[in-house]
Amino acid sequence: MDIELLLDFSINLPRVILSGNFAILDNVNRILSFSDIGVVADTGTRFTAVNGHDLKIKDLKDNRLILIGKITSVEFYTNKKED
Amino acid sequence: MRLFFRGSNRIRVEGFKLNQFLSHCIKSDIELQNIVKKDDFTLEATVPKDRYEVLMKKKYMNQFRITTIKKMGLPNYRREAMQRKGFAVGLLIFLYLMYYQSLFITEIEVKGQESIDPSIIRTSLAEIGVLEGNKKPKDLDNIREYLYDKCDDLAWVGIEYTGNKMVVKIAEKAKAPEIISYDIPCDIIAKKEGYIERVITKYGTAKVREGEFVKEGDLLISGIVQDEEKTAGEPGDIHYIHALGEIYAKIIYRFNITEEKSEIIKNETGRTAYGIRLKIGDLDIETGKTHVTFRDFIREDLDIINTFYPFPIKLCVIEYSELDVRALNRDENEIKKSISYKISEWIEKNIPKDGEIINKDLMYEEERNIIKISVMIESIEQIGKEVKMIPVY
Repeated sequence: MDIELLLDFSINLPRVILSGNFAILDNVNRILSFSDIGVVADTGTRFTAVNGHDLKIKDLKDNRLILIGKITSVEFYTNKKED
Repeated sequence: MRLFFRGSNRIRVEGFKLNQFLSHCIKSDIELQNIVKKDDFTLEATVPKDRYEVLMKKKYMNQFRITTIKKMGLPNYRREAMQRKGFAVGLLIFLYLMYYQSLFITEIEVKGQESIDPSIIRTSLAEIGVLEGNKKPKDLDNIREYLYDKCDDLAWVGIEYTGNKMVVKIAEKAKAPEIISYDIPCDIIAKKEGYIERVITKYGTAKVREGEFVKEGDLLISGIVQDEEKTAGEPGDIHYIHALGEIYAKIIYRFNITEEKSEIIKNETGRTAYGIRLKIGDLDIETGKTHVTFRDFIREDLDIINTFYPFPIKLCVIEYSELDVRALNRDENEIKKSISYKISEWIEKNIPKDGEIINKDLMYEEERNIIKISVMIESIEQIGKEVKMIPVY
């Protein structure tokens, strides 16, 4: 199956749209930590961490998180099911 | 913009594990915006007004202290306005007064008149109740028709409102020269003063000779013709005829024109200052007069309130822009061109098209920054004008 189509319809996979100044995280179920240098969110099968400076959550709605600020890195943590 | 219409509250959330607060909001489908973490135990966020009520009802919110910092958006403003009834009533009265004063005429301007005295138009308007301070009439056609009746010389009248100002634009009829029928006895008189150059008499008796000086109104060709003596001592019969002929005279025109040697150039320096002007009736206060120190400036009035009736109040902000005024010497050719243009303009305005210019003298005189030019023009023109005469039998 086409990987893009899979991502579009998946509600259990982390999905991040990223630019230098903003990031959109989809399928956010929980926020594990939040500060102006990083956000860690539970995005279904994995945890997603967005790191940067002066981070601010612009919008948190419908399991979608819009983050603005200077973004430096994105990390995905291990599969929760495997833990 | 969406939140503005829905209304929103800016809240401060205090407690441990603020990330749990955010997670609860995700689960409860509560939208949050502009979330800023102030410190480890405090965050601020904006929540829509309807979702705020849902949020406050949730049990888990007992773990956090939630304070509303600011209420924003239209529903909140509306509620505030309802609470401040005095302000709302004042605003309504103010709006009503603004509307009420817009029903009156503050100024009447007459444009386009050449020979008609504008006071005639104003008097005619006053006769039908169109005056400064009176209500704006709705039926403008009526006013137009009244003006046409009152002033025969009007070819067209246009009336429009610019705010509270009534602008009456008029166009005058072109006056046709009076034509006297050939069967009516008439004389030919001089319409200008000058030296007679040629007299061509077709009918009538010439009363002037070449080289003679005539003044305006002098008789040139008479329509009275007398027969030769019938018998010795008995005068001939007198006939009154329509005099016909052409009389050409040399007309001398003298006039002065002035031209500046230097050109004044005004440039804005970029420095501006502001003042306030308040005018209530005859009381006129302008703050700019005391604190604006610019030597040369242009001012622009920006009206905030300008009511005429029933309370004449004018409140405006005045912007003063400083000017750098310098005089630059003009090029000689440019001055010559300008002089030549002014003379041509004068000739076009004052000398008839059939006039023939035979001589033109210019005398220059310089005074400080001004060049004064005395111009003398000689032209040959037809100066005869027919006037009816009343025969005496």
